[in-house]
Amino acid sequence: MPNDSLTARLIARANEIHEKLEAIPRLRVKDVEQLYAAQGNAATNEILVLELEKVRLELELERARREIERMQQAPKWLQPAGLAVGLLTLIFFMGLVGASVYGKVVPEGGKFPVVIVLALGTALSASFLTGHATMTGQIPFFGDKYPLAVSLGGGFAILILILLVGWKIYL
Amino acid sequence: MSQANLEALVSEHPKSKRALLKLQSLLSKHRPGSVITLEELAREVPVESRSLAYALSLLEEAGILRRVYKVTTPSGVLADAEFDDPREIPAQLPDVWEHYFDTSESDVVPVFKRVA
Repeated sequence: MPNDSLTARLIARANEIHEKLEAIPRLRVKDVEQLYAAQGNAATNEILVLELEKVRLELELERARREIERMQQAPKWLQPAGLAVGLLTLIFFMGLVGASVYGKVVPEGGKFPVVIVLALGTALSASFLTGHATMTGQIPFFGDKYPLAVSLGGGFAILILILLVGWKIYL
Repeated sequence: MSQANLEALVSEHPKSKRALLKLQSLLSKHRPGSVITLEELAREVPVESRSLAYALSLLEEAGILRRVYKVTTPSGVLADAEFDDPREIPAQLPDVWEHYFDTSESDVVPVFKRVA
């Protein structure tokens, strides 16, 4: 999955930057005399290069962390879309029930599209909601590693299940 | 930094042209006497640290920048005091609340000030 591998690469990069940052020696007041004794006036330049490198790595690490955070966030539309599709499916079936109360039943030829609508509506809603749940860490185990796979797999399983059940009891 | 100063520096040090031009753009946002931190330099001048340090030393020699050293207080912020030479930093300094702290474990941080 491209997003996962990109996140993994970013995490590896952030770890690499962190290691480099840790490897840069801290320049404390008590070390200054020793540095000048060892390097003479070149120490002035060495202090600047060292500190510039440290600041640059800190900025790079901050950027990598922000990017990782952004990658791990679920898209904002996922949960509302799941709820909206579920609600529309429910309204559609409530309409069918309402119509049947007044004697307007679904004809034989229209039953298959009704099952399709039910299966697709339920599958899409489940897929969006599962996707949101996995990406926000509410489903551990596989969810935190493969959020898209869990979301799509769950949606597809529900689609097949509803089609089979609909075909068996309604058609 | 005047255009003439910069052009003279660039012609003398063509390898530092990119860093000097970026520094000129950064300096145009600063008034004389204002502090330029290393964070700002690293963010605004995307060149390798050693090249940037060299370009900064050129601007120091030209009298455009002045390098001073500050130390971090135990709470992690920079103390007000500044020194031309890091070896001049005393054993104790006041923090922002005027409480004296031992400087031996504090980090030394170079910062720059625009002179002209």
